[in-house]
Amino acid sequence: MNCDDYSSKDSICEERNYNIAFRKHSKEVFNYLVYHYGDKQLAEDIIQEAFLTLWQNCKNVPLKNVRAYLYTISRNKIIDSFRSIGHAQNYKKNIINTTEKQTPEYIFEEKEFHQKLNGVLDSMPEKYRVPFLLNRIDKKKYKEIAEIMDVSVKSVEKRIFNALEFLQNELQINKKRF
Amino acid sequence: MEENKPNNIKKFLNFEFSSEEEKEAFIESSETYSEYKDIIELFENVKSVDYDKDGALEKLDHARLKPSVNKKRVIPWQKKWLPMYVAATVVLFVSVVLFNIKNNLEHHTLAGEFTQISLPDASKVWLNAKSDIAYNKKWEKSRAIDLKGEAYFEVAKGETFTVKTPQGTVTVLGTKFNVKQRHTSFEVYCYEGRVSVMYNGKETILSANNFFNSKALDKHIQTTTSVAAKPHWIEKMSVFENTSINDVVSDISIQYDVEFNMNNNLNKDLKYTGSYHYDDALETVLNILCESLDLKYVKKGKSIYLNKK
Repeated sequence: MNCDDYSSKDSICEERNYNIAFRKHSKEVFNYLVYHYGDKQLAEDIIQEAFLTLWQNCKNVPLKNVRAYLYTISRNKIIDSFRSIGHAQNYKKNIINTTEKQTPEYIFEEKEFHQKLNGVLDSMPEKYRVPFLLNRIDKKKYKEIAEIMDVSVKSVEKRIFNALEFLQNELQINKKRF
Repeated sequence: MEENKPNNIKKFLNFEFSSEEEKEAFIESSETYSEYKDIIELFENVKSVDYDKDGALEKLDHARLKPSVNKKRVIPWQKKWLPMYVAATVVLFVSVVLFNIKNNLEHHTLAGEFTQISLPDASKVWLNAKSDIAYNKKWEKSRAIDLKGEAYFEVAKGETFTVKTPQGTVTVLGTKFNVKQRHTSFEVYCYEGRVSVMYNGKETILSANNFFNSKALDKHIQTTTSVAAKPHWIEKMSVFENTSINDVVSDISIQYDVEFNMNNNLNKDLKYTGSYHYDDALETVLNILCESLDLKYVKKGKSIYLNKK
């Protein structure tokens, strides 16, 4: 367990610390990006870019700020990509998996339901979707989400609740249709 | 109790209940929870996409360690030559500016204006309102003109003569023709001789009294029956024959420097046949237009609002 902790006197420029940081944070930041883009490939690319930037600037980033730094870069990349292509959300790439052990009691076949759910998430406004998925899937608290997204706790709370309402409405409609 | 409902669900979503019992009690009793139960339980079984951490780390190391070797070699070389790059760029920039100042002649007209220009080889150009042309001073070397807007050309015989517009290019040997480029539309009317029109990478040859219209869907070439020797606007007239209302008002707006706002209830397929003289007062022109199409207009400053009567 001990090897997961940074050697305190050294900076992130140390190969060992850098690798630890990657193991610690990459999945978490990756999820955040996936919730945004709905695209695994894009999220992987940005993770790589973010960690490369961290490496290039390692002298200026204290160990305790590494995680926040990664989120900030990711956030900026998201803004950049919005600017450059006004990008089209694409949740069709099956971003969400349901675990096999328990099939939800919805009427849909597993696969069909998958597509439905991804479709509904796709149509959900990003500002609701991202905090909602961070909360429900990654089990993050409002405060943490607020820090990640750089918004207030109050608005995270509201957005998650709005996301619930949104899903409720959408899935209700879908239910009726079948 | 009613007031607490949303707050409690927010508390629940934030994993704030201190004990399992408290959580169970909430799940049992809350109406809000039962409303959203399906979704909340659904997401307990949902996870994000799989992420191959080791694969990602491997790729990262590859990207991280490789370029750092290259960079060490490249940077000093770039630094060494940087002053040269800067100097070369400055020289290039200055020469481009000088070239443009020295060698390009430009003419442009405002709304309602109209001008005639004689080119060095005795070719003549009439420039309609709100149009720009530019051409090289050393005219005999390349007879090429950049055009934005509408112009009529009477070209002296000689080498090729080219008119470039943002939409397409017209090439001729010696003839009379009119080029009209407004926004996205591009029209060429040939009065005499033959012209070649390049539009969207396709070449079209027009002979006398043929008419090229980029907006016509099926066939770009059309033949007109009118035997006008020159475009009407040279005589300070606009003549419309079964012309769509949109084209009519955009013509008027160019001559009188006004802006039209059409009410949505107006039929966009409305056609107008008529004419007006550029010396007519704007009010006269609008009155005639509205009278014959059963419209009414309101003028506010430079804006004109068209509406059904």
